[in-house]
Amino acid sequence: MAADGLTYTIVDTANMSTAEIYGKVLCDLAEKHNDIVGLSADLAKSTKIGQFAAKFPNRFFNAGIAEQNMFGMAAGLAKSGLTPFVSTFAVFASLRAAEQVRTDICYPNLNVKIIATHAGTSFGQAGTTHHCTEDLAVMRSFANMVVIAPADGIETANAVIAAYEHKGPVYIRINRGFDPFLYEKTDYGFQIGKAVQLRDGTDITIIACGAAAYNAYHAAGILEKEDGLSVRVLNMHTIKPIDEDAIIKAVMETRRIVTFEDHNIYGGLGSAVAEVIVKSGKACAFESVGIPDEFAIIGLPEDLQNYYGFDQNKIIEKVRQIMGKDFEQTEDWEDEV
Amino acid sequence: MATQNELFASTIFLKAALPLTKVILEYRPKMAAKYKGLNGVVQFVAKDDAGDIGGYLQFTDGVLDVKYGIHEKPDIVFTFKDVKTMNAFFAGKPAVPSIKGLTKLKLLLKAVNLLLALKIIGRKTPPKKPEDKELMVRLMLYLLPLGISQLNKAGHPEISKFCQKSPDRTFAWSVTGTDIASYLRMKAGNSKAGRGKYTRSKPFVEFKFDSIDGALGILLQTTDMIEASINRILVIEGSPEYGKEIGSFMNMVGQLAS
Repeated sequence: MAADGLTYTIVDTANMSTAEIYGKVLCDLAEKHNDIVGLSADLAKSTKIGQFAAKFPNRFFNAGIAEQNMFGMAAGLAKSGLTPFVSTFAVFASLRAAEQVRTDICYPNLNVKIIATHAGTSFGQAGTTHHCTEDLAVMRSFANMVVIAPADGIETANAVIAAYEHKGPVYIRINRGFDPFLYEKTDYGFQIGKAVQLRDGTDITIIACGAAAYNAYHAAGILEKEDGLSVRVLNMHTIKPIDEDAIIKAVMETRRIVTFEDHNIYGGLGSAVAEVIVKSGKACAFESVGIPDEFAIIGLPEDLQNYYGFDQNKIIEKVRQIMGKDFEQTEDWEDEV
Repeated sequence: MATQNELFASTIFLKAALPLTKVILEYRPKMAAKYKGLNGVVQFVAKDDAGDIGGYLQFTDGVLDVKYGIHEKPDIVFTFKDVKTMNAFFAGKPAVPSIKGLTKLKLLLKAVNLLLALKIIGRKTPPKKPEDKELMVRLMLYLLPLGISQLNKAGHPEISKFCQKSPDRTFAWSVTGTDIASYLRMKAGNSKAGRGKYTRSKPFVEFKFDSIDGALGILLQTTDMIEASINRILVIEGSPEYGKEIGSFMNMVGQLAS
């Protein structure tokens, strides 16, 4: 695990964008596999597929601002034996082009990989129209679609490689960038459909995905040190197919589950976990935290994470609340002088 | 009558800087030994139409306490004609108070010695001795969160606005390889400055200095911030936007105290 966590310096910043890593990994993959082609809808630079476009100009297609057409083109390219990687903002991939993704790609089970950037509230200041807090719900409901929400750049690298190796449509949602690194190396055993247990614990299990996974991991460390709580943390990077075994095991062993995600609480990770619990017939305390039934407000991503309850301190607060503990025992605001 | 800015500066001096005299005695045991058994109250007061403003050092059997306000029966009183003059005095600039209680010479000398020791936070260049460098960094890193918190409590418009909007968050400062650390917790208008590590949550932003010398370079503004970041002399963990905001508050405290 990364020791420093949220560490930004001027030097690091350029290397920290998760999408930047996606661009690099795609270029490496394309060196080895001639069947890979890239598509974007006038967002090559923002989604970082531009790196691929610069390196393989004859294998890249800019559809212009016409996302529906782009997904149709990707379907055709896949039908002819190529492996298209399609990049646009999550809000356009999952909402504007939903019908094309469903009918042109998922219905015939075509080998198209959708790398959707600026997901959740990560595009904070760009406004509610550019947030995407519905994509997991939409994509999860499409038959044949695999849905992945990586926790950081390293996991994105793993997810992109795994997506290439998987035959069929894959949706990977990543953030705008500047995600802190949860992992230091890629060899931690990433597998589509298998949760990664970041910490073991017996009091409660936190299940998180995307940006919330990093926060959950570090929050659990503080809860253990400060409150003596034994907190299991599962990085549920694959929302579909979800790791049912890991969820049932957590129900049996910790009896309390709380999920955190940068997504509407309806239809995302929390819903997917709840479905597994209900189906199992096992009882446990359960809460899901994410964007409630509203359109997300506008602000810096850090503020939105806090506002919607999945930054580290809000995760700590929620766990303490579930476990019957307060953030502070007293409201003491006297400065130490 | 004092201007708003003069009042904010006096807040820094009386409520954030003067209390650091306790830290000096804590980390200078030889000096502290000389205060053993000392009793008395030394008052600093500035005249103002809206009401006198002051703070005092209270020695009880050699134990120092620093309080804001006017003591009922001080042994020595430094009186300044206005807040501006008192601020200049604490900033180490020429300013002459009238002093009452000169007969209590021992108490007066001890108080003056303490104030002279406190001048270390106003230095423009780093001290030579390692222990002085460490004390200077310690005092400055204690002063900054305390100053910001006190300005919030005094109603400083920018800081109060920021604090009002803040959910429960801590901002922290630390020097790697030492026990020097401080923090500022904010929550919906409330603020609290503290010393040491805040462990109940992860700081929202933490300013991590790589060493005492590294910290001095940045705090005295002799090191270029960009170079400091590249060379990891200062690592700011957390939101860059908020790091910048807190950085500007740190500058505000520094400017008011100079």
